[in-house]
Amino acid sequence: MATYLLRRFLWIIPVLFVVSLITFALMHAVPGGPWDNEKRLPQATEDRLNAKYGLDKPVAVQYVSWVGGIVTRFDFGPSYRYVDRTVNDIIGDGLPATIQLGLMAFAVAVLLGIPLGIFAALGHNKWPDYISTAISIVGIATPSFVLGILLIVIFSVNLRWLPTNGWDEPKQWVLPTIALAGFPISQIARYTRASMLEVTRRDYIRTAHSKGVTNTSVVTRHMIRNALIPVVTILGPILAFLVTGSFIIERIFSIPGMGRFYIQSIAQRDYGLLMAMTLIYAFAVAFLNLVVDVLYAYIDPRIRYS
Amino acid sequence: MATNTAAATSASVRPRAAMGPWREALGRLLRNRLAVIGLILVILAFVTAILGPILAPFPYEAQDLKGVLANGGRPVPPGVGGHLLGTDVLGRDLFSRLLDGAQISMTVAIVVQVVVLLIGVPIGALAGWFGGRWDTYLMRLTDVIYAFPDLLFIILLSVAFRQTFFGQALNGLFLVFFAIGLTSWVTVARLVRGQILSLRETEFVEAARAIGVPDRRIILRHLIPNGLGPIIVAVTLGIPGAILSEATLAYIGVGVQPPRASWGSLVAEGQKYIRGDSHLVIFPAVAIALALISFTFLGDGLRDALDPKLKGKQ
Amino acid sequence: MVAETGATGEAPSVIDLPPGSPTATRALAGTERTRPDGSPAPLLEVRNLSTHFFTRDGVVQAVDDVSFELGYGETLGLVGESGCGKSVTALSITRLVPDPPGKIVGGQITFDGIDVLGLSNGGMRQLRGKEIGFIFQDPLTSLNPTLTIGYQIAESIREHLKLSKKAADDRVVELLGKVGIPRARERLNDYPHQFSGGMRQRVMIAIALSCDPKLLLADEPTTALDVTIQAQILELIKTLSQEFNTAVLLITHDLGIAAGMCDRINVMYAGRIVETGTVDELFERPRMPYTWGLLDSLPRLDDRRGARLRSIEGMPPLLINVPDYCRFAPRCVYAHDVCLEREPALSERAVAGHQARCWATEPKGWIE
Repeated sequence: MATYLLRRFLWIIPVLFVVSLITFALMHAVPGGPWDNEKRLPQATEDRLNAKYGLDKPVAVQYVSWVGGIVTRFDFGPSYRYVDRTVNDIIGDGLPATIQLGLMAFAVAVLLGIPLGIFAALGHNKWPDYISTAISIVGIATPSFVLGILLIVIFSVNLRWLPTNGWDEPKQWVLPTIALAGFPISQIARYTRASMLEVTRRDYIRTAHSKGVTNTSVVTRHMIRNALIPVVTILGPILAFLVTGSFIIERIFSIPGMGRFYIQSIAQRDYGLLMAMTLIYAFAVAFLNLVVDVLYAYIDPRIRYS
Repeated sequence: MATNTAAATSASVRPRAAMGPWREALGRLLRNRLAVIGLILVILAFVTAILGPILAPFPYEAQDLKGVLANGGRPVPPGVGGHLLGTDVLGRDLFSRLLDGAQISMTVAIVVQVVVLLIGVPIGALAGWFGGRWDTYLMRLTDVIYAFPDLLFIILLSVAFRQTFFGQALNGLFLVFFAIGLTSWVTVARLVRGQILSLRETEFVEAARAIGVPDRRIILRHLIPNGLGPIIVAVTLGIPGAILSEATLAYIGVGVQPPRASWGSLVAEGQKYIRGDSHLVIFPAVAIALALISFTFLGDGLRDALDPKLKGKQ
Repeated sequence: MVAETGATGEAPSVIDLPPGSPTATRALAGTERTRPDGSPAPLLEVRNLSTHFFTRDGVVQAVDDVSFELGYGETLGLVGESGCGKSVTALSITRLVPDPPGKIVGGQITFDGIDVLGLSNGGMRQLRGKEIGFIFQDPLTSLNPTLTIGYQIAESIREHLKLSKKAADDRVVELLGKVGIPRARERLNDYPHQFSGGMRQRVMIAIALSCDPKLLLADEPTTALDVTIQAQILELIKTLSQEFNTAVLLITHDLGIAAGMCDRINVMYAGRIVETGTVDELFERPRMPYTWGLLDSLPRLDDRRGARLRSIEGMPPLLINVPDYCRFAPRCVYAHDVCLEREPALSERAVAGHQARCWATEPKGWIE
């Protein structure tokens, strides 16, 4: 068990290498360079800049030296866009907000989604089911950017309850978190509901009833734990969604996280920043998937003890 | 005499003949109300996509500047001047643009899944059938693709190739297909691999091999038809993701380029006018919502209908 | 949800056994009741029980007007082929029939003097596990994979006998010892998947007997097990039920098993009881062609090698739109016209207590 997890963790490293290779290759495969978006620079200036940042060296050498910097010093290199700051600086500024947004959205999704699904299943074909299904439908049907816009319009513009941007006070956290969590809530609720209904038909539930166990105990001690096992399997993709979806939300709500730099860095060919962020996102997804697997093993004794 | 009567009455209490599994599944599907709603909406979506250019009262890029000026330089509201859903600030009819967006979204839905099948099925089949090293290499490959946050990869590809010929084709639509398809095939590949792995060991396959049926024929004629159910479900449920990705790309300006009217870019354009002319955001948002809901319901319905565990039950 | 069939009524006073009391004294303690005429009353009395399933294709009359009795400490077999309604009968007794689509539509069930169908849900819950234990067919799926077996056995003990955790665990260890699971104390925290099929069934038996019930419902307890294990499990059930004077309703399709375990046997076919009697009577002088067919189909040691196995031709009728004539008639080689016109009633044969549902074997019938 432990060896399996260790092996999985170590696999992340080659995966990250390949990710970095692909990203690097993509960036350099296409004509153009980091200085293209400015007004056209004189060739001499451009050459000097290239030499300064080592962009005149062969691509392979650039890649190796860049990777070397990360591995040895955890240094992602200088930013090409922001002359006085390194990539580490920029990411360091943005990462906390992004992580916070992601975690909050995840917590909301799980803490709302699972009970929603459970109540829907318990009140199957009655009003709890309808309400939960209605909420799920809204969550599926509304892309996070639409949800964000709608929330802004309703709660900020019309009702003036909550602000639309900034990240310092808790009330600024509410709308972005809900916008990001909308889709995950509905997915988790749907899966939980389906799983609970499935578990209801299992033989061991009948055994529990035959022992004279109270209905409440049957639900809480027998059903829920078994029903959550399949739900854990979708947490991986949900987390990946939160990672990628966060930067759209960050743009809409002007949150000072990493996301707002992403598209800019692609368009402006700020290789350093782009590579770093891609790697961090990729690592986050891979690592979170691993955490989910651990959780899965923990919850299901059949996997833990085999 | 006893046996004659026995035979006669035996017939009268025989069960009705069981239908084929596909017919049964279709029956289950059609009894599921949500699935039927989804199916109707899906058909509607495709019809509007195909007939779009004919149904549109105006060309999607045509600008009714007179109408806008008459409205004080603001977008024309719905119902005015022959514009069923109003116009945007440049006077382009929203309904016509929505139809163009429908065409884009439905094309994305189909083409991306075709790409997914073209890449995913062979890879999954190879991995599942030959096993061993092939399986390991291919699964490692899927691990890498899976680890790459898909939206990021799509954006990366889109922006990287935006200026190339490839990227300019069809206003960037071609690039979108390619990018989304490239990141989405993993699920199908894994599914196909799993199906083949489990079916490979069944007895009818052993029998086929024993009489010398070539591998390729076994895969094509036996394994794939039997494993088809979950694949159909996965493809259908993958469509909302593709539509969503395309809309998101268009929203941030990276996907299909103007003047084509992807629903996502309509939302992006419309959000500036949301205070007074909310129709510019609401109608595209509703269109997106309907598209997502319809395929999701249909996919859920297919999954329930094709679930082998439900065979023979209510 | 598995809703409990039946509805209103007050919870009765159930005789409470002090925890851990020696239960062998029950047979002597006079808790067995008597009828008004002084004769001993049965533990379980089922009268005209009908349980139907309301499906899209029609109403399946799974159990149709079934009546029988079971005395204290007695072992009764309910024998028949798949689909004859024997499992549904057992589920009906404890009101565990899945509703929807199933429903007990008629009849009366009296357990230890209590009107079962009139009990509230809470009252029924008090009976289940405490007075009535249930052993299910498939030990692989009947145990919760995410809970330890110690917990699952202790659950009803703690629920019904209100023991502390430690006292309950002690009792669990004692039970595990009784059902033949070695090193019980260490295995309390093991999970079902860590046990073999036979062991799991022993755990199920421990669960069923944990609160010393008066009645044990065993639904094909060995069908899912290896033949060698089957004998052990059956032996275990027999020993324990004798030791604690537990009445057993044994459901099986295997006449051989029924012969070895039961005092009396009810043969069921298509939702009805078609013959009932003591084991001896049934095996020596069966009076219903279906029973003959069942007995005949058992392979014998003295069969000629290479001879075909004997089976009953045809299939049981669908339980939707049941015919109003003898349900076995279409398959019966002895059938006459009357068999396809009216259904015979369950009537006495030569020995008191031996009843059969067949025109042919009635005193005035055409078979001796």
